[in-house]
Amino acid sequence: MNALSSIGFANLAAGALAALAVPIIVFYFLKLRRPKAEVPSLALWRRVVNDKRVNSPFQKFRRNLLLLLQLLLLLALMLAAMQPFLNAGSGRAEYRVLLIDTSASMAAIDATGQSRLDLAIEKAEEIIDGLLPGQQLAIVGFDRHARTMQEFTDNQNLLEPALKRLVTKDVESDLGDALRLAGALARTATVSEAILLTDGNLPPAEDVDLAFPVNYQRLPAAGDNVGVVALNARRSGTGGAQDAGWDLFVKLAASTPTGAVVELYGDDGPDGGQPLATESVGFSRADDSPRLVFEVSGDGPREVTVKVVAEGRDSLPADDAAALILPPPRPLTAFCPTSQSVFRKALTLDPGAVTLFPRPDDSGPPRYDLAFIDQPDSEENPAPDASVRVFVGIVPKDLQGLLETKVGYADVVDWRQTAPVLEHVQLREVQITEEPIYLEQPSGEPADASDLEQLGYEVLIDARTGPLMLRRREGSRVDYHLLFDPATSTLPYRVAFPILVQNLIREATRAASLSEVRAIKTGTLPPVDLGDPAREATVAGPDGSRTLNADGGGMLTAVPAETAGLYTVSAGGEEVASFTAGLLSPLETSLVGVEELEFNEVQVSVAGEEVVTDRPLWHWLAAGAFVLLLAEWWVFHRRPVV
Amino acid sequence: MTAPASLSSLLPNDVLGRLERVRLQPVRRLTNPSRGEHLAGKGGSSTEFADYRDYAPGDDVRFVDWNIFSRLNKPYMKLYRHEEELHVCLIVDASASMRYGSGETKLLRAARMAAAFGVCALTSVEKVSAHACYAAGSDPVRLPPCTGRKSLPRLLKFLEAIEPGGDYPIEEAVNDVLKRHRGRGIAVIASDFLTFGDVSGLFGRLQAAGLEPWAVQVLAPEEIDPDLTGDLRLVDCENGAGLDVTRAGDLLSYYQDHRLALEDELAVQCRQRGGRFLPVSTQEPLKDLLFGTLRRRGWLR
Repeated sequence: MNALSSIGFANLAAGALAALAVPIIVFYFLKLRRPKAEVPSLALWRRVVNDKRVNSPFQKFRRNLLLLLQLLLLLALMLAAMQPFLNAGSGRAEYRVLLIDTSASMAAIDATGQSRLDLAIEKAEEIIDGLLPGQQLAIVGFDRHARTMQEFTDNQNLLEPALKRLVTKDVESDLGDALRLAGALARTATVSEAILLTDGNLPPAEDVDLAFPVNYQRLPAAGDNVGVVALNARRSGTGGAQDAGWDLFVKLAASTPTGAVVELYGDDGPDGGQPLATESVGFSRADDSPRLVFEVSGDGPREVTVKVVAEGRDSLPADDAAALILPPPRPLTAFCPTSQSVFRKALTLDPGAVTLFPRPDDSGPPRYDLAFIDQPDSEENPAPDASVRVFVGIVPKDLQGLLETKVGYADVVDWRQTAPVLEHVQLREVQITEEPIYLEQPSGEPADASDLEQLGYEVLIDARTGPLMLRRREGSRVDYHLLFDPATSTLPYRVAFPILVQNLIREATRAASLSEVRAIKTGTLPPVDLGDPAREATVAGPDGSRTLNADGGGMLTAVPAETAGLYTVSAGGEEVASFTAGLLSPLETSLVGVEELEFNEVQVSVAGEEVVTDRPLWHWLAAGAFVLLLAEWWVFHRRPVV
Repeated sequence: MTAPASLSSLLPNDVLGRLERVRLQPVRRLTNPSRGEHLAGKGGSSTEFADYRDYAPGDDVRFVDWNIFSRLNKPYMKLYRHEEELHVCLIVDASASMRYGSGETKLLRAARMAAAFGVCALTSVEKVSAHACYAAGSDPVRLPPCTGRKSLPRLLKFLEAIEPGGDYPIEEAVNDVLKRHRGRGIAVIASDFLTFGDVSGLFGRLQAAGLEPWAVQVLAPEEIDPDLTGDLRLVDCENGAGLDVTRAGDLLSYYQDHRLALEDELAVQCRQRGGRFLPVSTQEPLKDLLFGTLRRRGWLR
């Protein structure tokens, strides 16, 4: 059943224009000047006219054709001014928010060469064209972030350019952010509906409370697609070996059962080089995710690119390639004072894997990958800089008001086994002779873990009376605080101790990207340590370069990387870091549109029909008036001059 | 040597000369029993014998055929054909509508036609009267009956002096003429016959008055084939009445139908009343009309 059932008028007052018919009729008859033609007698002409009237019932009508045209013109103009519209039947929505998905999948191109975003913009333009007086629209574009493209307005000159500014980004979409932004807009006006224009490639559930109904308009699927959804590399040999190569793991996904060829390129990339290796892969099902492994030798390229070429049509180019920068092999650098002999012994269990400092003839590099410190960090005696630092037997300076250690028996009651550093570490029945104690605070209550968390510390090992091990992240650096000296415990005699040290080595190796490298997803670049809060860095990427400042910790964080490609961070003319970002999203690559979106207490299904809006008719009437004007002009000017 | 001056502006001298040699040829011999060149029925006093009849007391004994009486001893009366005089009544429509015509106006053509018939009649020793009909309510301007060649200049001068103007409907004009007319003969009506009245009664009244109606409908080319297009207000030149027409070009076919229907009606009415009808265009050459068309159709001999 057609919902467009009746005609309404937005401006009934304009009906008063009908009164203009009176002066038109009056002036018509006053100003009607027919050319006079004198004839000898009207005898014959009267008979002719009488006969013609009998034969032509519309003779009177034709005599006043000009007047009729003028009245029709007035009628068309009056109706246009009354702004009629075909009523959609659901009441007039005055404020609506248009949510338009600009995530990577919206760039998928169908067989006609049209992207999903193009389709969404077309539909949005139809909605904008259908705006009636009093109806306002706001446009929100969203991908991983939502942004207001245009606030509530009925000005098509603002709405149309806002649509043109929408571009897709190689990132996943976050509908929740868009709905929260729409909710914020709803606080400025009573939003009657949010129209969601998307391909449906969204997480099916969002933790959002809806303050308005959502009209979920899912765009038709683009077609087949194949893409790379994960890429990482792992050292194939010993970490410190100079000839150690890489195992490259590639994960693929497709929207339909199809086949593809995966090509591996070296430093020259897919644009200029020949593939180092090629592998064919088949997708037996739409949700099939085959994995491939390529071997890259230690003396191979520094940067590798994996490109997938679909056998059939490929709708989304953004996910066809992913790149990875492979760091050169080197041994892990570790600092451990000679006083910590147990740790030094554990660090040298794998010869060649760790270069241990200090040495008698070498003071070591300015920055280590792993450092064991048994002295408080102070200005006079600064602790060595490292990606992973382990403070042994020291209560951090900022915690000295909250806890202390004293001689006593400490019983391990719990430890966070999910923490990488404590993976497979069994601490039960370890005897510790230093007991941590929470100090009483001015409020009279002893401090607890929440006080530590407020200062950024996480408790990893709990004793009965206080924490035994803490973790604190500061930028890209991780500090572990062992509040007891292992030498005063039975831990060095347990198998847990070398495992603990190996976990620390592994974490430091990962932090230094020496053992495993993962291709990063588009969105935000990993934090980069610039070392100086006042330092300025330039980030050059596929979508241009920008200059950013380090934060208070000297870290460069939250650098947007919304286009797949190589990003280089430079500071002071030197390259500090480089990353290759890829889409790497199984959801976006699948191009699957969800049937139903689940919000808090509300489920929204795909709308069965197009967005039905009140359809204005004034422009048709205006066009009709123009045609009538032309007809009136023609009829007037074809009259001969006698 | 210069050419002799024309006797009339209506007819050139050569036409006048040729007209003197032709005679009017009425459809019937319905004429005045007094003198004239037209031989009517028996019982006249001409020299042309017609028949005999028995003598009756009181008959003029001068017409007894004495030769037969001497042979048969019975008186018989000789009967001779009448030499009758036609009264040619020339009625010229001088209403305002007659001033139309490109080149030659309808009035001029009507006056020339009347002059031609008048010349024929006068040179045939017939009685001729002429009437110019101007405005309704006023009697037609009349040339009293006259006869003989001596009346020729008078007739021509009368016809030359007619000017168009007025709104005299032709049927009323004929009625007014008949009120003062005496004698039988021919009524030549030169008019456009564009009247709102009924022309059928007109011819009946002429017949009843003993006049054979000879109708000459004079039309200008603009009336025969008008060139009108668009929306117009047509104004009657006689009474100033207006008539709005839309898309006049589309009406021309209807106009032609009605014009031809009027011609047919006039022709039928004339024929039924023992008369003649001739539509004339002012563009038609006068000589062809007088000595071609009229002769072919038996108006003149």
